[in-house]
Amino acid sequence: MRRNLGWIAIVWLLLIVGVALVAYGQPTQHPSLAQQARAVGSQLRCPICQGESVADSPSTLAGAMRVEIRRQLKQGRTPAQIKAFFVARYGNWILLSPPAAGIGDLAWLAPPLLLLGGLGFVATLVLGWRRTGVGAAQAASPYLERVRAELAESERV
Amino acid sequence: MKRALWALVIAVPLVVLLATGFSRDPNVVVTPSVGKPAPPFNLSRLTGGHLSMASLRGRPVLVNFWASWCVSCAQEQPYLQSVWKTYRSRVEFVGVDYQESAGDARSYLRNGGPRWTIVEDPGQQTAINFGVTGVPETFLIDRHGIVRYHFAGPIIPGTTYPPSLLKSDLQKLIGQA
Repeated sequence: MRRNLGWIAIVWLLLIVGVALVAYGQPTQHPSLAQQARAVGSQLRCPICQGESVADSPSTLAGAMRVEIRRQLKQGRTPAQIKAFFVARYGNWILLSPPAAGIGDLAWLAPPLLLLGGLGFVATLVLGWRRTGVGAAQAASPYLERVRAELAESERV
Repeated sequence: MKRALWALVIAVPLVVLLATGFSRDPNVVVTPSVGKPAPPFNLSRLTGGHLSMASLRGRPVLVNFWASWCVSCAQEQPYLQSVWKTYRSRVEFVGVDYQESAGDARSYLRNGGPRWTIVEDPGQQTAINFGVTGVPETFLIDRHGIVRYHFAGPIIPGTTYPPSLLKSDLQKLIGQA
């Protein structure tokens, strides 16, 4: 019986691996021109909108930029080259994600640094409480002493 | 003492950051095109024929992106007209019609619009090549075809780029070898 269970487990494992291979192991299809254009457009800021990408904005300028992206993709230019084309004309500001270089590094480093700083602050606070002994301070409170004394008194009565 | 030092370490950079951020004019558009060759173009004139950037070499050029539907463009127009009258013999003025049908632009010109050369920019390829974000936007190009000055917004008194500053910059371009 125990031996059979082992075989069942192996068959199940092979079945799961087989299904996973069928589901995720398919050769990835080459993205269409529209998909590539959308991918590039979603990384560029619409110059006249508030926080909207070129891919999502309904503005005429964003529409013209989408046409330019498709035109350059048809010419065989890579997404990186197309982004460089817009950066050369509008500056790094046109990129929705700042480049991880120069001052842009700061934007990428700030969240983990702030998280580490916050953890450090909480750790210092907790260690401080442990050192000073919050429980001892409570025990030394005259009000607590009085409550305890009164409780003891009432129990005696 | 230690606590005060920590407060200073946190507060000072924060105050500096906020002061820098709030002192920046959000309307100022910094373009990387300044100091670089002006993007080449070959556009149709509204009055017929073509105009290319290459044909303007040897003379300072003022390129103004505008549209008849643009209120700020209408505001700056009398001031630009006055500057054009003074400098028309020494500086080439080119208006690039932005996001507009040629018919609307022609009708505007017939009713007292700009009197300098106006070209069409179908598809806004030239506007994108110049890095234009909106209208009006003005670029000053020297006689060698290099973009020297740029201003996004109406060139009217009271702005960071009033007509007096435009005149002074044009004077510099004219005096340049």
